[in-house]
Amino acid sequence: MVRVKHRYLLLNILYPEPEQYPWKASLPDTIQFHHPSPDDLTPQLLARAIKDQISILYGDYGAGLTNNGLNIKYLSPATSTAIIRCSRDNYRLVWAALTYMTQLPKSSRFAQARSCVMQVVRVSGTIKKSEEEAIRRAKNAILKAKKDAAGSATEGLNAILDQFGPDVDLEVLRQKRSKPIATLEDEDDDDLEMMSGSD
Amino acid sequence: MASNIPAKRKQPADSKNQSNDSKRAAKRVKTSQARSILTQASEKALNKNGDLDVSTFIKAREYEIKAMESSMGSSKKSSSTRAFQQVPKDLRRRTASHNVKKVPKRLRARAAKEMKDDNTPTVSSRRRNPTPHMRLRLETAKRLETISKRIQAKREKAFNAKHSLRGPDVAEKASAISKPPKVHKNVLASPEKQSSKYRRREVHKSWLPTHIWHAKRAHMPEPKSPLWRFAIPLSPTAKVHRPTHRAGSLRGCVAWDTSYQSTILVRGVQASLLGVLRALGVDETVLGGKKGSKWRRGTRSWSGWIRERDGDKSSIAEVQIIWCVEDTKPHDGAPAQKHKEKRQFFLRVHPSAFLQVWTEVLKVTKIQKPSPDVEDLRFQVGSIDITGPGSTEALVGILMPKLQTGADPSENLEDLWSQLGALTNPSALPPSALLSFNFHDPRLFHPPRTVKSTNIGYSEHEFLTMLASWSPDTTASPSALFSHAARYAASRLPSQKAINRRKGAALPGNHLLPLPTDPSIPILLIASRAPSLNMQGTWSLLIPWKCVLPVWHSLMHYPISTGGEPRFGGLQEKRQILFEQGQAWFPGDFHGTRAGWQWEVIEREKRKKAWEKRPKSKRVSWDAVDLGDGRKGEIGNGWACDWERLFEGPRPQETELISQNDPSKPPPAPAPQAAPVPPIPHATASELPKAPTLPRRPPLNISHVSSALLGTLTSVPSHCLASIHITLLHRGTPTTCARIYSLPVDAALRKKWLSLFSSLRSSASTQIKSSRSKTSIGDTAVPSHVSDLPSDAPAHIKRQALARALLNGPVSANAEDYPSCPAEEDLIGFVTTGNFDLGMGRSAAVGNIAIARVLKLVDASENMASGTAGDSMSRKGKNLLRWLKPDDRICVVRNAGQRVARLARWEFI
Repeated sequence: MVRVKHRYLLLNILYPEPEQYPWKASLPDTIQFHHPSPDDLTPQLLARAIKDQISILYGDYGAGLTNNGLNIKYLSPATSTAIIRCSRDNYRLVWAALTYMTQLPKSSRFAQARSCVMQVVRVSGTIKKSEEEAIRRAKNAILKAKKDAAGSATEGLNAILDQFGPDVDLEVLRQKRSKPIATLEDEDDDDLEMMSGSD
Repeated sequence: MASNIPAKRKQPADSKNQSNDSKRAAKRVKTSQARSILTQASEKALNKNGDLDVSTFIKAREYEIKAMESSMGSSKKSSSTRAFQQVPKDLRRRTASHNVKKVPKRLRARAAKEMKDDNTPTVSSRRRNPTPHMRLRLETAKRLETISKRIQAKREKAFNAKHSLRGPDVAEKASAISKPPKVHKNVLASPEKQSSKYRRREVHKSWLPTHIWHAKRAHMPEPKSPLWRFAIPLSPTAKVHRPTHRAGSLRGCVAWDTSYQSTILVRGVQASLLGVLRALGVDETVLGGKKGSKWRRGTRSWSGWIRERDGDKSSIAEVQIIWCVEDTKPHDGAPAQKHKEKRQFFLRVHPSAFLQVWTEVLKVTKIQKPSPDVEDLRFQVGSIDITGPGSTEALVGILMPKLQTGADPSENLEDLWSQLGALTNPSALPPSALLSFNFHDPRLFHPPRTVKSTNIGYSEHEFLTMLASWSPDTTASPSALFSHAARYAASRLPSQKAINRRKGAALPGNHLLPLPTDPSIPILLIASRAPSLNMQGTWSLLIPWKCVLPVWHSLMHYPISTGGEPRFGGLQEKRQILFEQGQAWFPGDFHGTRAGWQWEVIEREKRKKAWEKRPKSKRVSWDAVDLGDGRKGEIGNGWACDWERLFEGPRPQETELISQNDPSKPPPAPAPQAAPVPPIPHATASELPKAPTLPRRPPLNISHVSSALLGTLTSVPSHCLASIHITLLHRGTPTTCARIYSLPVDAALRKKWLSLFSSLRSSASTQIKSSRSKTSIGDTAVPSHVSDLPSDAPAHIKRQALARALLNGPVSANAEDYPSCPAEEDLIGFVTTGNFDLGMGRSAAVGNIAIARVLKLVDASENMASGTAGDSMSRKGKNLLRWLKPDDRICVVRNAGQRVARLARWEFI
């Protein structure tokens, strides 16, 4: 029996332009970037937005390739996190479409346009691994928020891109580098790790 | 009618359709629910005023973590597994999928429910209606049974009639039977004659005492092609490669029935016995010096190589020699008589070399005066080998020493024996320590119980003192195993029926009390060490042939304190454990001996047949193998360790082909074998001395030289092979027949390989640091990696080294500048066993190399480097082992039929 293989993309929706919102600017950047999403962002809406973006970028051909199996497994407005399932062969099209999305999809014509960044933080072969990664990230975020609130806030771009936390291990970095990235992607591995920060 | 037929599984009857659909829908809802992850609306992440807040931010994340974790748990639970899938793999049975009773009790209720839901038909073979064919067979069996019963009754009647006629005579006869049979000196033993009913099954071979047990659980050799005239289990039917590694080194133990090992007893005056050993080439330092004094006294064993006395003195086999302890009891006679006192020793050898050793020993004893007697104890002394951390404990648990009346030393020994239960490695005992005592029939204490932690009363210090002082060296008394009468008495064990009767009379849960009439079984226990102390040593038990089976049954049921029971192994597992310890296996890894050569000839034929069986498109085309630099075609026969080719160069027909090297011509047929190999003979034991049709000795005067002997030699014969252990420095796994090259003499290619070596060193040094490889890879070259730098090196230098390591990346064999394989002139030997070594975590191999050739190549390359041709002989006359520098032990290994060669390092075994 042939098993249909999928890829699961763990997605963070970031809001790099906090001034749009009338909330306090005194909050650390970490929290402002990981702002909750509006409630009208539903899984169906997100899926439609991705499909639209793919057909803009790749036309009918791309839409046809990715339409099958694209599914939003998880979308939490409170934490702006999502898990998207897509077919293994074409996950890069979906990823590209997400990268090119600069605005949240509008639920109606009159809705306000909100700029955002879709950051794919993990590609995995099973949903379990992306769930584990989401847990790890949530834990880190809690620690970081506590630390930043206490005073030593890291500002600007570092707040988003500081993927490895405070202690960057050179040896770990080296090992990651020594693996050729192209082959990593092609590997038929159920646990495929890809750190967008290290690329 | 239709309603009577049970519905087929998973194809519901029409009437049930409706309910099944709804069931299925409900199930779908259930699984989708289990798989969904709970989410929160965005307002939960905002505070009362609808603003962002640190505390709400944290709360939202905490909720997410909980949701994710619960989703992972519930989706795992909802996945459908059957009850029998929860049973550990090695306890699963095929019948468990349709018979609830084959599932462990705790899962039985669940399994029954699942089977009912699933409509699995449950039939036990006992109640199944027999097929017409089966019914016929059953009826015939029934008829035959009644006939045999009638015949038996008739015979019994006749016997009774005879018996009543001359009653007292029979009683006399019975007592006469218990006398041991005559000792046959200087004659080959034959296996015990089976009753006519079972004679045919041992026509071509002998069974081990545990044959039936093993035949149910292991792959056995084909009935008509036994190994060395024994039906030796090859490998368990279950997959055991990793479990064997674990049991042999980490937890548990592995046991083998090695009763096929042949034992020869030599009895005579000590002087002539020493003369025999001297003639067999046993080292003089062991025979005379202080080094072997304990061995000569009989409290230690010795194993080493013996050689032929005459001719070129070629090595025969590695043997184990155990002396019987000198009887120290005071004698009435004069002290001068001590020289005339007879002593005896066991000589144990692998069956493949038995005949050669036997004839040699017979020949050598004839020369001595007074000439010693030789006895063949092949079917009288059996043995069991056991290795692993739990081995000592298992032995202590099943072997209950029998107190000799009024003997103090034996009491001491019993104490010592029970203390040994805490030992986790036989290597911790003194080297080749020996224990001999009598023990009770293990069936009296069946099933065995886990030994209680015995060293409660003793401190660790006391335990170590006990091991260091090793009292058996002083208190040992002669083992009863050397006595013919004792061996015979021990082999007449009470029947299982009698034991069962006693068990029935005893209280439940209690072991039987031994009776004074129960026979005591003599045993010799030999602890042998592994080459390195962190590897597991091996216990060898020598017991009478007939006692092997009860001991084996008890051993296989012993519950080890760390869990599980002892595993059993076949020949393959023996080889695996030896390989992981970096040792060679006799005979397969010694092509220089007669037995080893015969093994190679048989294996060669097997590999050739396997190659020929494959379709042409799917097998290696030896003539098309690309060796780089425009060379084409495998060296010699690809399926053989082609020593003929190594020593004699290409055969005339082949040279022609190589010189032409025309791809348009059809590939030539593989060269015929040097000597056609007739099939293995199936001689019975009585035909043993007749010449077998396998080669009598290796061709071209090929001989084996052991590393111990190599240390004393100053020059080596040209066709001399030595066994080596190879550790690969890079990737790749060598297999049997892989070609071993020295570093090429050609300067350009040599430079390439050496630069690869240094680059491998830099990238490998970090990885190999933790592995317990025998050789440290970084011992000569300059530091080129971070870890090679001293810890106080300046930061910028460290950074440079790191950057270099990052940029270089791993060495790939596909790279264009990867050095090509050395030329045929650099060929020094062949791999006999190669695999991934689970203990070391990298590939390793055991092989044979032609020593003289290695020395010549080392000379040639040095001359090339220095530019002078004269002083090549300057190192001659020195010890050969010191002659070779570490860099001379780098070699290149290439699998037969492959292009890529790999760097490796070798050591003498």
